[in-house]
Amino acid sequence: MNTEIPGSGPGGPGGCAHGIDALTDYLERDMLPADPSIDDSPECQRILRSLRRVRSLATPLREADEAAVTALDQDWIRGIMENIGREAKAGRDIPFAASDDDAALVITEGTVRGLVRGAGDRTPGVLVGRCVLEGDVTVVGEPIMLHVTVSIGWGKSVADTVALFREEVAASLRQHTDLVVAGLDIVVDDLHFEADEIGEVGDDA
Amino acid sequence: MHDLTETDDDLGALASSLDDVILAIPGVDGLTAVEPTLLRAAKEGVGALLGSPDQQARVSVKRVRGVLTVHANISVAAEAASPAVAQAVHRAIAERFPSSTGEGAPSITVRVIDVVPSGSQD
Repeated sequence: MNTEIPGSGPGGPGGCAHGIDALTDYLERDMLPADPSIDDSPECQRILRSLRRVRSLATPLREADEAAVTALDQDWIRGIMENIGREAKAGRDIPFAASDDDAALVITEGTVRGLVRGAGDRTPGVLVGRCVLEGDVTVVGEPIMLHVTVSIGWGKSVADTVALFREEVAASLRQHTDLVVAGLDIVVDDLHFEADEIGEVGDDA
Repeated sequence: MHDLTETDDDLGALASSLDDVILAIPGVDGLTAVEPTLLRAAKEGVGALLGSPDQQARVSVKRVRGVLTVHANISVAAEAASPAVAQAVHRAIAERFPSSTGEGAPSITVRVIDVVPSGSQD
């Protein structure tokens, strides 16, 4: 297989040369003035999509009660944002089954992690924290493990929500990759409040 | 079909024509420059970029140690299937090259570098 893929490392094609803070600022400015180095970079766009999701959770929290946003909340949000930035990087090239000596048909590891985050976005109550692909993803047919940490919305059934998320992830990976996922390990490591639950919890307090 | 007794200008023109071919493939949402302008400027100098015939091309077509190499970085629409789209892109590129020139087949790389959800604000 052809392995000479130019710029497949950091800062390579589609890479994002901007940090999380700069991208957050850009989002807050409604992406104005337009910056082609962000708008034309798939990696930056992947980060922006995830940041929008985090912002959609964090903004109602802040608006509900500024004082209620504790240092712990800030750390939690920062931690998720750091994961988003780190995991959006292209990473390894994951071949499709159709690859051969003359054709390298691949999807990047960062894109696959983006698929997992996208599955989280489509599953009500799920926010993906960390996503790790364990195993040699560069070999077609090699079984791999997928480890994902998630936060679940307050009041949701953890079992039902995780089951839905698992289905979304599996379907997305089947559609967009030829990965052989031997195991999907989902750890719920946090709970978070969503916009419609903030008033309810506040009333109880 | 492309004549493989090409010049650099020919390769640039071929790369540009491949841009259009690939973008027309169903499921392809976008095409990103394999060698971003900033990277090329750093490697070759800004002056070398000015007047470069292939500066607009996002597909890369080069001859490396006598072998023609083609690289394309694509974004795929979420409702499509990435493996099938990558194969379609590969087929479309391969069809641009004659098989009877006696020269080996080009080395083709297609990378899916993003899957874009429908309704994305990208």
